[in-house]
Amino acid sequence: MSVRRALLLLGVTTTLSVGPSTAAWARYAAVGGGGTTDVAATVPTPPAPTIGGTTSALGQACLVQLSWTAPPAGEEYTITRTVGTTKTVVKSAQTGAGSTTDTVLLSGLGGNAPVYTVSADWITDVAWTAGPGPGATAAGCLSLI
Amino acid sequence: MSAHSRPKRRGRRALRVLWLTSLCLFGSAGVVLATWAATGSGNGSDQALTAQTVTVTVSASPTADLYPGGSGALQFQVNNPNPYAISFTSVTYGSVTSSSPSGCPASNVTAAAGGTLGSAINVAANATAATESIPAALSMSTSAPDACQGVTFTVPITLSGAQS
Repeated sequence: MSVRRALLLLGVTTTLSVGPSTAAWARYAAVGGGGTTDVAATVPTPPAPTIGGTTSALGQACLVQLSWTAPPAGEEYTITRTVGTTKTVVKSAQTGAGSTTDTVLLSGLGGNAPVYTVSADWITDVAWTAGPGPGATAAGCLSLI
Repeated sequence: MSAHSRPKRRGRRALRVLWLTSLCLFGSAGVVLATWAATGSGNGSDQALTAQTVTVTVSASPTADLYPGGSGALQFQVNNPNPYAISFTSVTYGSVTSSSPSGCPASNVTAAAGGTLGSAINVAANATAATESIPAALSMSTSAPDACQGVTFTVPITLSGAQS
């Protein structure tokens, strides 16, 4: 054999092993459908105000000490006095806890003790209302007559 | 044997030795190659999993969080029967309907624009009643009538995503 042939035999190509194929990851697309809900809130009925006491004003009027709790966020309170069938707003647009002294003429009671109630409405939409809640009666006024 | 034929013999012998040596080397290499290389042929098969339908159903007890001028969250449950978790990243909304159309028409509530979700909704594999929500998906008019209090609004949605 010639040297050239011998050298050719030396030139044997070795096949390199092929590395592990790169894993190709596929993900499933997903679609889901159906009904969902949301519910409109309800303005809760406010609690009754608190009557701290009643005093006479020169024998002509009854002074009623009133207080109320803060409404929930987004709401405002209106405190109303009812004597018989006559309603009078004592305080309106109350967004926090508060207190006041209401003056009621004794001559206007007609034998009826003043009753105080709280109503609520949604500040940005006053059409949303709740109440009036339970009443607090200032029975002490009748004793001043 | 003549003096001239001895160098020729030596040359041939050298070549034979070289050839044999090369053969041994190639043989070794060939053995190495034989142990490394292997081929096989034939047919193999597998079947890709068929994705199951994911369903969305209304929540059993949604939170009443919708006020005039405010926004509320759409609440629902997801049923994923697939053996893999899913991440939903976009949503499209259908038309809003009211449970009291005469007292509180659905026009008092507007659904948000669809598209990419602010936060992906991730549902576990084989989940049967995963409770989910989309915050601020609905908004209510500031002039919604009083009769809208407590009304339920329903919105069909389509969630899109992929296996996670």
